Amino acid sequence: MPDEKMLDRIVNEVSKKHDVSSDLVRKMTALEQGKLHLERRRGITRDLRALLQEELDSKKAKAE
Amino acid sequence: MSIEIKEIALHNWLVYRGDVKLQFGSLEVGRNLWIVHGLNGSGKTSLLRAIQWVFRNGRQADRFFDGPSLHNRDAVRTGDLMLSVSARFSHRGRDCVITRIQTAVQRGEKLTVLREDLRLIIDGRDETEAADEKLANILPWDCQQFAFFDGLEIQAYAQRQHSKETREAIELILGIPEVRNLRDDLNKLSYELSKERDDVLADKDVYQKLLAEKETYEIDKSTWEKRIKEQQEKLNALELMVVELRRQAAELEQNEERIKDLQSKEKLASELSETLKNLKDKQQRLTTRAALHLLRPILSMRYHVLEDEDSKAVSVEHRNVENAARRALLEKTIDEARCALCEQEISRAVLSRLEAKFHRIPAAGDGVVEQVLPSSHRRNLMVDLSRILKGLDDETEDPKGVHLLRLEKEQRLEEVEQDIAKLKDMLREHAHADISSVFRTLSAKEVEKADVGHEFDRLQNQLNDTNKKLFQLDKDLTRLLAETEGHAELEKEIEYFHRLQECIDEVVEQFIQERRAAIEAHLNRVFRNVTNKKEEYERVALLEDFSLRVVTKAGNQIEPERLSAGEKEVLAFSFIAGLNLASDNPAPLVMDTPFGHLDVQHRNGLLAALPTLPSQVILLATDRDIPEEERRRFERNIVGEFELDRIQTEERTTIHTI
Repeated sequence: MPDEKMLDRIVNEVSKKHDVSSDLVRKMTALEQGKLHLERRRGITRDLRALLQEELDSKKAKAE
Repeated sequence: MSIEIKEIALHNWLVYRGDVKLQFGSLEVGRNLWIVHGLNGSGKTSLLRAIQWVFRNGRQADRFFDGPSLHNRDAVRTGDLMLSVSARFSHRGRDCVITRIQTAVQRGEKLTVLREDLRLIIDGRDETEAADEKLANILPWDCQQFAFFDGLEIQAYAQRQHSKETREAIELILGIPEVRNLRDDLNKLSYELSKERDDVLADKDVYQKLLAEKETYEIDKSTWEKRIKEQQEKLNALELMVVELRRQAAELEQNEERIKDLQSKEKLASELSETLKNLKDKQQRLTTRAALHLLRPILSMRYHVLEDEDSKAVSVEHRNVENAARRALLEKTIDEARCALCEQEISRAVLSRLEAKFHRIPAAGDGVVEQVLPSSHRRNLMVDLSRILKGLDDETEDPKGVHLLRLEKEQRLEEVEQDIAKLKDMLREHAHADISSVFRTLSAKEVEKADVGHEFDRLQNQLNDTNKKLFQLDKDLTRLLAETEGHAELEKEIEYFHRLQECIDEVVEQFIQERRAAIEAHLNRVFRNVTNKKEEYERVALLEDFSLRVVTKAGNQIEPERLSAGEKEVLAFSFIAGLNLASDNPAPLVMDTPFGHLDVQHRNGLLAALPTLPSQVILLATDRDIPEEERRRFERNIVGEFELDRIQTEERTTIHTI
């Protein structure tokens, strides 16, 4: 289990630098939590893409 | 605290016949120690094994658990062939109960396991179906080696290189794989998005041109990657070789020190032998003179008698001389019948009186004179006695003190002789080693390693350049989407995704670095408090593969194998404590024979460090591990204690709460 506070701080710093949503990065890291390297959940890329599209939709909605 | 054991229940497990329970109370800050006291063979290790067994991943082979029977032999004799271990624990505030049950069947002398079942209840809900997976998420099997361990085996973590499995387990505790997995999964997603884009653009000429260019770079990329991998393997092999050669060179250099040490130890041994010889002589002398010491009052009395006699004898002798002179004078006067002074004749009557007087004077050889020793004999005797008495007075040495000094010197000589034997053995090992040849090879390998390193860097730069070009080409390809009707959304998505990917790469790298820094800081804090070489050791360096090096104040790195067994244990414990402190999900520490080879100072340092850990600590200890006075010193940190009582006639251990 990653150190939540440490990860949260790093995510905030780095996502700002790359102009991406820290919430999206956080949601993506949360999706990976509890899954071990040997026992990966199927469909994870699909879930990650859904999160990405959700973020883009929300950005689009805000822009409109 | 993330995981806290509340209760362990055993049924027919090894030495525990029937049902046996250990109930642990709640912990508080600074009060996290539980001590299970037991003599050797009373069942401490069986308890450790029970905890390891119940938390194990059943699919993983294990020499101990899959080996000899885990069933209590008494129970087997009575036909009870079912054993179980159950642990109730809290995990992130949830109440969990895990039970592992094994049923066996007896065929002749042999006991065969029929089935093994695992049951898991979380907050009253039956989670048995996914028990293995859930348990692995709570406390992964690979991580258990850092939680439940034997103090005598702990030094395994203070070795030059960790195995791949150990490295992975450490990363797991630090939560690195979960973050790294995201990067890998995004790479997969990147492939899917590129494929989607390529399907859209497939019939465009510009796309085909860019794609051809991209394919050339892809070939370059794979060439660079292949060559980098080769160079990396070479570099790793050379690194191992250089480390080994450095170790040999240091060993040979140390031999010169050893020779000096041997010479000084041999000199010391010879001095000690000489001192011992003198002490033995002295002891012999003291033994032979012991009778004289006992006779001292008699000898002293005899001396005084002689002294007294001597003073009397002086006057007797003086009288004898006088008498002799008088007799001589009277004899001459009588013989000559004439006065010796005036030479006048002496009358007969006077002569008669003189004759009578002559006979009254005692002659030499009779009377008083006969009763005294001859003066020379007496004087000689007095001189001898005086010398003996003075000698006895001068002997201030205490025979007991001489004996103790002899024992001390004998022990020291034995130690020095052992050191000499060890040094000779070590020197014999390298008797045929050629120091200059080792240094020549080392130097050549270091040059080779530097060359391979340069080549590695050059290839890495080439790969980076190629990656940049590929990245640019990818961007150009994506930009083509904008010009393709109806696919602007996909272009935006890919563009955003690229930024996201770069962001995640950086997050992963930074996270790994900070996790390493955190564990290094924690382990150093523990190490500084526990080590008994605070003046000599500066810090502990945590290497890329999580192996450890002690760095001296002079800046030299000491490889773990050059540390003593006790120091390795301190280093390994500091590492485990550091991991525990750096973990967001610390597991309880269950330590059997917790202080292995540690000396008293190290043991006390370690005991002082345990209450600072953020987890429950269960010590399975003998009376030697925690003597009563030490236990009292840490009483405020102890939550509870148990005592194991082995009933030898029944091959059975019971547990009492103290």
